[in-house]
Amino acid sequence: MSETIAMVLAGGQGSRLSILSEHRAKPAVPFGSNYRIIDFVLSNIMHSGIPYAGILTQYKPYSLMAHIGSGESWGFTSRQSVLKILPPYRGTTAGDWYAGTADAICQNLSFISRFDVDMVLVLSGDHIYNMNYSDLVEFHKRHKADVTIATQPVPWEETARFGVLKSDKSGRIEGFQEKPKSDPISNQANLGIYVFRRAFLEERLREDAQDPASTHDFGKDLIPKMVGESRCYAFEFSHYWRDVGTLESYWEANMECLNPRGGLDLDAWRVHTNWTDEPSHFHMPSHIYGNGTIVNALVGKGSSVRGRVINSILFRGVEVQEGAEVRDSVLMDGVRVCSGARVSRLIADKYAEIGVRSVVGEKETDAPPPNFEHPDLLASGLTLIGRYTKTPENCRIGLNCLVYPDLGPECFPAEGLSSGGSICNHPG
Amino acid sequence: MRNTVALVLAGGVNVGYSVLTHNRAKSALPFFGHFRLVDFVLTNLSRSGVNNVGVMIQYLPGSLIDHIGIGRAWDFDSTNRRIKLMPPFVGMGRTDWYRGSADAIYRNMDFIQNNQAHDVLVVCADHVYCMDYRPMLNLHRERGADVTIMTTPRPQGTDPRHYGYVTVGDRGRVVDFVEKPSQPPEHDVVSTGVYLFRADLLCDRLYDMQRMSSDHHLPTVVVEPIVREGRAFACPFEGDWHYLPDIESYVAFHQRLLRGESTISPDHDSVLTDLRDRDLGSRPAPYFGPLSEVEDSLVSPGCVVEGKVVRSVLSPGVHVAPKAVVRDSILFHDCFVGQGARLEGVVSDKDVRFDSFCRVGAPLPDPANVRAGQLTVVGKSARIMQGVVIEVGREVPIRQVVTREWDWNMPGSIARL
Repeated sequence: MSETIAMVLAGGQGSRLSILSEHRAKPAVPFGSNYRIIDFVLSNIMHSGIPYAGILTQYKPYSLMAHIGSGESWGFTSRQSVLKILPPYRGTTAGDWYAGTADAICQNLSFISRFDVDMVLVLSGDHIYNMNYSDLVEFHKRHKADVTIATQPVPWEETARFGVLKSDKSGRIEGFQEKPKSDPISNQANLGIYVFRRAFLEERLREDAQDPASTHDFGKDLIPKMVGESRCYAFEFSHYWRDVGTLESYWEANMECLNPRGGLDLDAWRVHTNWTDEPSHFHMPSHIYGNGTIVNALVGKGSSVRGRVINSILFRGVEVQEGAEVRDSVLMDGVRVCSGARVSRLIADKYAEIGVRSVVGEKETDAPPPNFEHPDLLASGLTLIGRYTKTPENCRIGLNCLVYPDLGPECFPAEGLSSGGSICNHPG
Repeated sequence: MRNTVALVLAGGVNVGYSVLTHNRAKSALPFFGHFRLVDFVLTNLSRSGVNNVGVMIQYLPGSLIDHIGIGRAWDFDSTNRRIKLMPPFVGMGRTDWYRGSADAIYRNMDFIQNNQAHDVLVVCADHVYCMDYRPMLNLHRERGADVTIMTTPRPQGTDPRHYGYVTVGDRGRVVDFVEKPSQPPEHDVVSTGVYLFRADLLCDRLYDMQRMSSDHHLPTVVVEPIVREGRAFACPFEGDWHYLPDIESYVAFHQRLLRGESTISPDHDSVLTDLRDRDLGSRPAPYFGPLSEVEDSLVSPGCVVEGKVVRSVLSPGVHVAPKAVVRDSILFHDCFVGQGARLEGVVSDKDVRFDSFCRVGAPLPDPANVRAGQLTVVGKSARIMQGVVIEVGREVPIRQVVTREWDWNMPGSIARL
C-alpha cells in the first residue's frame, strides 16, 4: 500500500458530545476503557500497511497531539514510514484556519506532494470501526475510479443524518444527497471514508478553493459536484461502523464493547493505543477485593472493585468502593464511586467522584424530562458529570442531568439535582 | 546518584521453581499479573536516579534479555542513562563461565572504571521490595564507609539458612557478617543483598581474589573481609523486603498481595514493566461475563472471565470459560481454561490449554502458608485434554500433551514434585 497516503480529519469539536469534548477534540475522547476514538482509525491504517499519514488538527489539539506523539504506537517508526500532525498554519502566501474538511486537505497538498503516491485516503478521526483499507483501494483501482466512497445501509428513517448515495450494479454512483430532509434516494450512507486518485483530488480541491460559494466541505460541496461528472464509485462496507457523535451513540457504542458478537470486538481488532502518555498506575491488572460482583462489564486497568458493577464500562484506575453499585454506566479514568453510592446510566468524565451514599440516575418519575438547557443532547435518560467534579455525600442526581467539570461538593444544592437539571461552572 | 554505577546479579542458577524455571531465569518469572520479578529492582534503580546499570546474566538469560531490551520501560534508553546486559565472554585469557557473583563483577570491572564510579551499588535481580537507594548512598558517603549493607529483620516463616547475618554495633558499625551459616546466630538482622561499595576498594578486593582465592562469591570473598578489616556499616531498610526461594513462598506471597496484606503493592507503587511484550499495553480491559463470579483476585488486561475465579491471579489474556472454576491459582499469560474445568492450587506457565472438564490439583488448606506437595505446576504450552484428572503435587513438563490414557508412572515423563 505504499502508493497510498492517509489523511485523517481530526479537527472537529464534536459539540454534541457536550462537556466530554469541551477540553479535547472529539477524536481524543476516551472510548472502550483503554482507548481514544482516534485509535481505531490509526490502527486500521497500521493494519492496512499504509506507510504515510497526516493528521489534521484544529480544535483543542493538545490531548490529541500528546496521544498521537510520533505515531510509534501504530508502527510509524521506520524511515520508510511517516506520520505527521498537521495543524493550521500561516505562511507568506497562504494559510489560515481550516475552513472545512476539503480546505484542510487543500492547505496540506504540499505535504501530500512529498510522497510518491497515486491515491489519497481521506478518513474521519472520530469513527469506531475495523477496516482493512486495502480492499477499498483494490476496488478503487479495479474500477479505475476517480473517487470511491465507503457506504453502509442505514435504516431509512435515519437517512436525514447522513449523505446518501445511489449506485448502479457495478457500484458507480448515480446520485447523491447530503442529509436529505425528505424523499431519500437511497439508504446507502456515506461513511466519510474516501479514496481519491491523487491528481483528481488536487485538481478538484484547487477548483473548490476558488469557489466563493463553497463551504469547502467534502460531503456538502465536493462530492455532490463529482457525482455525474467523474468516475465515482461506492464500496459497501457491511461490518460494524459507528459515528459516536452524540452522547447516546457514544454510550451505546461503549456498551457494544460488551458484546463482541455484536460486531465490536476489541480483542480481535487488535486496536493499538499510545499507553506511554498515561500514568504508570494505569497499567496495572484490575484488582477485585472480597466478593465484588461484576456482571457483564469491562473493568479497566488498575481499577479496584469492592462493590457491584453491572453492564458497565470502567476505564483505567476506577475505584468502586464497598457497597457501591455501578449499573449501565461509562466511568472514565480515575473515577471514584464512594462507599454506598449507586449510579446508573451515568457517563462520568475523568477523575469525577461520586460522594458517599449518593444516588445518580435513579428514576423519580416514569417520564423524566429532557435536560432543560440542552434538550437536544440529553433526553434518553443518561446523566453526564464533568471531569474533576466531586458530588457531595448523600446527594441525589436525577436523569438527563448535566453537571459541568471542576465543581466541588459546595456547588450542589442541598436537595440535590432533579431530572433535567444542570449545574454550570460558567458564570450565569 | 552521580558517580555511582549499579550492578544487578541476575545470573545465578535457580532451583525451587520446578518447571517454571526450566527455560527462564528466576528474575524473569512473571509476577502478580503482568510484572516480572526483576521489575522491582529495575524500577528502584530507575527511580533512584542511577544512570549506569549493568546486569550480569548467565543462566537461561533469553527471557530476561527480551524483557529488559534497551531498558526502555525503566527510562534507561536516554542519552545519559543506559543499561548494559553482561553475559560471560571469552577473551583476555579466559574461556570459562562466571564462577560466581564476585567473578562476574571482576570480569566487568572496566564498566566501573570507565564510568569513573566512586561507588558501586550491587543488588540481586530477584528480590521483591520498593526502595529509593539515595538515602543509603548519602549515609554511606557521610560515614566514609568502605561498604554499607542494607539490612532487614529476617522475614517470618522462612528458612534461616538462606540469609547472611549482620551483627551491628555502635552507630551502625557492622562488627560481624556471616553468609549463610549452618548455625544461624541468635539475632535476626540479615543482609538484603543490597551492598554499596567504595569502587576503588571493591576493585582492589577483586584483584586480590583473582590472585589468591578459589572462592568467587561476593559476600564471602569481598564483604566478609571488609567487615573484618575496613569500615563496614549497616543501613536498616524499613519497608517490606522479600526473598522468594521457592514456588510455595511465591504462591503464599501472591495470596498476601491479593488480600492487600503486604505493604508492597505493585499497583500503588507503580512498578514499571515492559508493556510491549505480547502487546500488553494495547490489550483491552478485562471482560467479566454475565455469569462470572470473582473473589479476591487480580485480573489482567485481555482476560475474559466467564466462570468463577477465587483468590487467584490471572496474567494478561487468560480466558476462563463458563462453569470453569479457578481457585487459589496463578495462571500466566494467555492460558485457556475450558468449560467446566476445575483448577485448584495450580501454577500454570504461559499458553497452557486446559480443556473442558479437566480437573487439576486440590484446594490449598491454608493459602497463606503453602507447603511442598500442595501445588500442581504446569509447564509452558502444555495441553491438558478434556476430562483429564491431574492429582495434586504433579508437575506437567513444557509442551506436554496430557491425555486420559497418560501413564503417570512412566519414568521421566511426568515427575512428582
